[in-house]
Amino acid sequence: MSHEIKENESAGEMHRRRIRMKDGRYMIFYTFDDESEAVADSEVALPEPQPDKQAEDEPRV
Amino acid sequence: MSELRWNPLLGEWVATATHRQNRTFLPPENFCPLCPTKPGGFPTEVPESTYDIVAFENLFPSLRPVPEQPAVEGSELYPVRPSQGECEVLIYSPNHDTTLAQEPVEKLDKLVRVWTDRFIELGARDYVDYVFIFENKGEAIGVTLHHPHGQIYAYPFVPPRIARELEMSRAHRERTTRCLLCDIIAEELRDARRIVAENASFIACIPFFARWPYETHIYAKRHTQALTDFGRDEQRALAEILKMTLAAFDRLFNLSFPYMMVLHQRPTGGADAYDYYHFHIEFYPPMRTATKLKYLAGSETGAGMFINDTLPEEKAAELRALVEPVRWKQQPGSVSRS
Repeated sequence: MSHEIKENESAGEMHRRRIRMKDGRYMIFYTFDDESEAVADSEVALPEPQPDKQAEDEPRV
Repeated sequence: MSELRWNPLLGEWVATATHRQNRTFLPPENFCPLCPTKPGGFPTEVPESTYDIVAFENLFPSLRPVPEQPAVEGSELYPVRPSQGECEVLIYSPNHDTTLAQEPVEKLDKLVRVWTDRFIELGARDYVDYVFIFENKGEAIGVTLHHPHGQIYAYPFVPPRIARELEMSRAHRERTTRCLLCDIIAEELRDARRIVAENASFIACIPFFARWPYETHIYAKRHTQALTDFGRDEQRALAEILKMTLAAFDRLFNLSFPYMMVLHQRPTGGADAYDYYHFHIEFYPPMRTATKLKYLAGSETGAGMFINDTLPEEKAAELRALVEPVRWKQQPGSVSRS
């Protein structure tokens, strides 16, 4: 299922990256600073993200 | 087809969600929709090759942000409303074969923080009155996917069981000026026979009034109403006591213990309006022995009166003997009460 990156926000040690799936549903990937290496690996195989200009800021946690 | 139908006998909403009949049911492991999508492999619901914790909208929701129109018209006797709300799936791990009990305490700490984030985001929706975080674990509970995951329902109303707790808590506050759950915690600590585990910020116990043999509650010692009230130390302490409790469950019969886990928090509108309420987590394990399940039969389902075949004091002693200290990789953990 292809997707696009809607936003990428850091919230302290917890990071939240939101994508929008083709059927319109959202999916949020939570990662944490101590696992940043694993996060970087996961993004290697992804298609080039296209930021959504309508993305809104989310509350910090 | 999906809508909310009013039950005038009980004063409760019932959701119809006929599309859920078609949801994925116990797929083989190599076709698990919650596993990561491996390069060249079966495309799962999660389009990445790995992840830590993922939240997403349920493919088969009973509540939707933009709901369908009801399939039937309501009436004065039978009000009907669109099933507006939100249903999320929360995947704990990319590992299909793990469970929350098997995950390190660091993962539970992360999960507590993700729960908090979802409570904030979903609670901010103008159509949401209550954020309900829960996990159904095990085929005995009726899970349709074995991959370790929880769920979140964001309801457009305060659900009846929470409303009842709110009502009883408010009445106790008005009568005594004290918090009901603070009084329960004081009584459980004074008696001590039903305590399963304890750390600086939380206790786990099988309460005096347990309905299930191993029904375990986790109570915040500090008078708090929601996950958002906790500082980092309390988040870690909650992760610790969850780990102690879940690991003890699995040791009980030397199997992956099935349960329902539910978080009871204040409604999301007006934090100050629910100062009389008290955050807690409840576990309802269906097993009453290593080989027998407790079923919700006539009395429980038809009358709402539970019959517990066991004594909470004895079951708590069994669990307490199985609680072990939690060890953090990078910081000292607290000591269990065992």
